[in-house]
Amino acid sequence: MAQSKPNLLQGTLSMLILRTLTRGPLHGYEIAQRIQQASDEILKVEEGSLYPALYRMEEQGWIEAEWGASQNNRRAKYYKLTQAGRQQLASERSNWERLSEAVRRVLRTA
Amino acid sequence: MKPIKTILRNLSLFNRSGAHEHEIEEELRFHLDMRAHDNLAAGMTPEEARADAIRRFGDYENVKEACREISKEKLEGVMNTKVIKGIIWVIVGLGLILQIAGSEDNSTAGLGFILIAVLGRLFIFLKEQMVDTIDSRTNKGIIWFILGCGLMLRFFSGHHAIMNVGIFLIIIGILWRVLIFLRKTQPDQQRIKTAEQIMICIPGVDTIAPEYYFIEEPLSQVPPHDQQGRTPVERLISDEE
Repeated sequence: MAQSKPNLLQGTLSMLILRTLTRGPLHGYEIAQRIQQASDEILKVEEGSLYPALYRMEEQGWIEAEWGASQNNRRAKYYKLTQAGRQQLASERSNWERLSEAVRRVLRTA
Repeated sequence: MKPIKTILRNLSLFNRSGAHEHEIEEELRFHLDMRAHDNLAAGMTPEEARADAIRRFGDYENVKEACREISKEKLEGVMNTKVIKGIIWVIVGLGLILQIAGSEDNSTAGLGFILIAVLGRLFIFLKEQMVDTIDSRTNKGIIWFILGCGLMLRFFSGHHAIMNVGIFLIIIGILWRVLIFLRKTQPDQQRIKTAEQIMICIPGVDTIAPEYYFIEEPLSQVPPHDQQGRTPVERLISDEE
């Protein structure tokens, strides 16, 4: 049976972006690709929703953007994690783990 | 030279909105081109590759507009802070002129101007560097420490200069507290985020914010778990480490 591909849940997008950027600066397309690949093609980033999310995160100071040259030598906007972004990631990750553990507990007992 | 530089920088910010719009378009087009390029490599015809890239992207104009709005908000925030900093430097300049070249009365007014400017700059510094990054409990602890020091210096010191330092510390403490109060009256991003996550953790339930709910499969199947029982998100988090 073919597995369905759920869309990426909106509340977790910023956390996944922050986590993906811990490895180094990436442009938007690479971020979307990395998330999709790392989740075995299960999580599909809504490409349109990615950029407003990136801009919002930049505004909040979690990431910084800088123009650079891509692999095919085109001008691309690279995003990198800031110290505030690392703190935000730790906080979101802790929330996520707490909540998913709570749901798991309910599934086990209910 | 710094006041002139600040004013020039503020003036240059007025011309930035056009540049931002151009940069947003360039970034979004880059994404579409990369997707089309990968599609071509996967065996699609150029027309199919382009059409698929556009389809996957969604409403290009809406996305561009959303980015533009966010960018504008950021620009206005930066500009407000820069303008305030520019005004502070003008006040400092006036204060120094009155202090150096003025009569005795003007000299006192000059000192007042400088004090106002220093407090204004301190206010911005606290907002940018401290209040937003330190947690609430630590902030409150620091405020009580500063207020305590200020009160001790103000009431238990015999020296006039040290008493003034005490008053200065009390003002800093009060300013800091006001900033935390203002921050609390704004929407709490962290709480909103948690609420979103709670809603998305209950797929299958008709939540009050259905836009956060995309999965239609039964809860037991979604999201798919791996052999260790991890969801895709959990797997991504741990695999990236």
